[in-house]
Amino acid sequence: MDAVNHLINGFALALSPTNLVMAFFGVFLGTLIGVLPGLGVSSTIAILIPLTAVLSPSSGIIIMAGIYYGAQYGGSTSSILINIPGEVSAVPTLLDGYPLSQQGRAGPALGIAAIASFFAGTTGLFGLTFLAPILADQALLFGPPEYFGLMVLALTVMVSLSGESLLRGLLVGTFGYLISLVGIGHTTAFPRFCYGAVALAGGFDLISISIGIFAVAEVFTGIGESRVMISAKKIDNVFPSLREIKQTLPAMLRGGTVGFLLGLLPGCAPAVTTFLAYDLEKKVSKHPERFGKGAMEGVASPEAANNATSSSGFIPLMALGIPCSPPLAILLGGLMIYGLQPGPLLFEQHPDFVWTVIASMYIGNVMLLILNLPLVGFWARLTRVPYGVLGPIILVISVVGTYSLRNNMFDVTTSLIFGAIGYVMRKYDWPTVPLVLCIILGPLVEKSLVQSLAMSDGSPMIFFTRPICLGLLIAALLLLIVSLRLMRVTEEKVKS
Amino acid sequence: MRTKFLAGFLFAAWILAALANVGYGAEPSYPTRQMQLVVAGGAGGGTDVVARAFAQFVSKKLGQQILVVNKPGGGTVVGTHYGLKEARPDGYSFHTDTHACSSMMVAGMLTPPATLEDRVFIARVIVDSMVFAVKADAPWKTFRELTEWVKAHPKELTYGAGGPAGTSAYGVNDWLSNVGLNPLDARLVTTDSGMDALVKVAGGHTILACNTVAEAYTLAQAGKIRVLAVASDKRSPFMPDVPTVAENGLPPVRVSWWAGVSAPRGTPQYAVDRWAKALEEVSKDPAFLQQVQNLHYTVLYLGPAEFKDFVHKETEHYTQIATKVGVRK
Repeated sequence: MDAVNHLINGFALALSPTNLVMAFFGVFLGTLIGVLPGLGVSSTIAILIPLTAVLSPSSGIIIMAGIYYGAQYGGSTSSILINIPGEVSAVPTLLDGYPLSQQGRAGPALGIAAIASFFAGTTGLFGLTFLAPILADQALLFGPPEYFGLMVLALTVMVSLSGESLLRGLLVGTFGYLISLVGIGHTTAFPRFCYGAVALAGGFDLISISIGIFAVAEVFTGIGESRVMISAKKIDNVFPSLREIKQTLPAMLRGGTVGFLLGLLPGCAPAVTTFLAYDLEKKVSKHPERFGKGAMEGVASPEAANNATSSSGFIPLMALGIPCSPPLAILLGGLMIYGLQPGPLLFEQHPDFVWTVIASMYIGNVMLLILNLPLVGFWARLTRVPYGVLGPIILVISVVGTYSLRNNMFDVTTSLIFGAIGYVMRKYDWPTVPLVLCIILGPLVEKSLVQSLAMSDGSPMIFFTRPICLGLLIAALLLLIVSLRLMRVTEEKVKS
Repeated sequence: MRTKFLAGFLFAAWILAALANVGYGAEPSYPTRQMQLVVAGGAGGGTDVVARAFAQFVSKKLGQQILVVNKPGGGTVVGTHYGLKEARPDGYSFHTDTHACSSMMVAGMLTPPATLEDRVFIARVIVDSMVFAVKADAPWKTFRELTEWVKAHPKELTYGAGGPAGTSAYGVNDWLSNVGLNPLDARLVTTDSGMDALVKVAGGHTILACNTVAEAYTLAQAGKIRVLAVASDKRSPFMPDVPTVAENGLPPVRVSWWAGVSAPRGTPQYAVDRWAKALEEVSKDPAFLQQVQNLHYTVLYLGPAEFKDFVHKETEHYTQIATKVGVRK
């Protein structure tokens, strides 16, 4: 139990007044960034890197890590309350979170999100504490064919997110895939559908489209129906009941497990993880028809997945120096500036540093829970603000958020246009989620397919000769069958 | 009457002030406000980390804030267009120049977003060498052995690279054509980043990676990859045990990674001079040197004239490779 001794030492150092203040500062800033869409975790950490010149290594990294996992907590707030996904990974949260807000249950939804985040974040940290060296190497086993298998598996989620008409879902998905093609092609480095415009060469930003299709379209809809406020019902209780927590606990566990395992894989987009967690929950649920209309499990599961991912991402980062996501890449840069070389030697040469940071993440997760729960009541009241006031504010946040993505008006225009598209789609009952899902998955499927075929010199046998890949493809097939069956069952239930 | 007089007086004063400005020479006090340094890439990438170090240290020398502006997208196309063509050449906007926004881009694209003539070269500050790496338990112990194996199995080599016109691809192309092989026989697996290419090698999914010392250092230390050779004249101080390509008895591979600062064409000379001087001082600053060393880069300063010459020569070399391999489009 070497790890326990180290961790106790780490706690002793992490509980020093300076480090406590640093952890608080980090998670507070992270929450703020998570709540405000557009302002990315990556840019915030990058901007703070000069701080490393004045702070000690552990203090500096404690702040940066705090921002990183803190943002995952805050990310759910804007999704649930006002349908703005700050990060693409927050899209599954809003599918049920926002309907809950409309039913006057924003408080319990936010509470469950915070508890799920805490639960999964902390469980993920146990994994980091005790299993880091074993798990880090497993991440290397995933090559392009395995990612291809995983992405095909993720594509089956399309079925359960298409709503009533699978055909419409597939059409919308195809449209999404076409949009994802615009820009410099990943494999050829050749511009596609750019028509000579430099702005198009950069492609469409996924977050600007998500904000458009969810938040902006929602405001347009609100104007259309002259909505008075988000929640028509009176707010009964601000906190989730003990029963609700108990009911969603299995969802947190499942979502957290999915998030933790997929979080180990570099290059597996967090959005893929949360979508898979959400889909899994819908599949195991006895009432899949409730999903999308305000199922508490639909909030708990993706939020747990999100935060488990942020904990497990530290495993390949610290053990091998492999960053699984852009913010972690910057964190890696921060470590290097301090002269701390990640890898097995980091644990041997700088145990104090490593374990102080890990201990501070346990502490930070507790702080986040304490920080977020009292705010729930305040946020929940936002849903009773007159829509004439709130609507324009949501639009302003959307515009500022999309602009700050790449400091580019192009993204603002994109989100407004997709707001209009989203409005029309909702009006005529077309599903919008497959659009976002295919924009996420399209490039990933294409990339892993082309990479795999380059490895095998064009032979598709590569997908069937590698055990992990084959297993994933079989699982995808099974999931597809289950999804189609489930769809029929749900239809019958709705009819009767 | 009075207002008219006042207006006339103000006008005269304004003319005088303007004349005075001209009279005191072409060099206004500079810089008088915040400047921007454009990065053609996202926050946290290799170029971004370097640009933030430039901004931090140059800002101290010039006494004004320098805002790092990230313009990711389309490889480096969007950012390079923004930094060199859209930005105003008023001495307050600068571009973090790299091989990927200059020599390599001009060599790889028939219509690049910015040509070499679209910029004023200020200084090159940081360089890094490319290394060739295979999986830690791969059968090849030296670069020579790998070369012999590729000669025997020219169609079986797989390697990771950001694209057919990126640093890694140029490195592999240069090596293969130097030893008389057709680079197009090798299988290029496109990767997201240098780290991604190395992770694929560490996991045994591709055979070879050609990336920078800084990128390869961590996985080499962790014992997941074996670095076979470094593509530079001398061994890297960070990997003293790794021989150069020439030490393996092979023709040298002339591809390198570098970062410096350029400005849009038309930027006033005084601004260029101030920045060149500031960057020269920065590249001797011990704190800066330490930071760069921690990132496993090397500081090697080139002033405006030498920098321009360097990039032009490199562009010629890359254009040759690109034309030969047929990636110029």
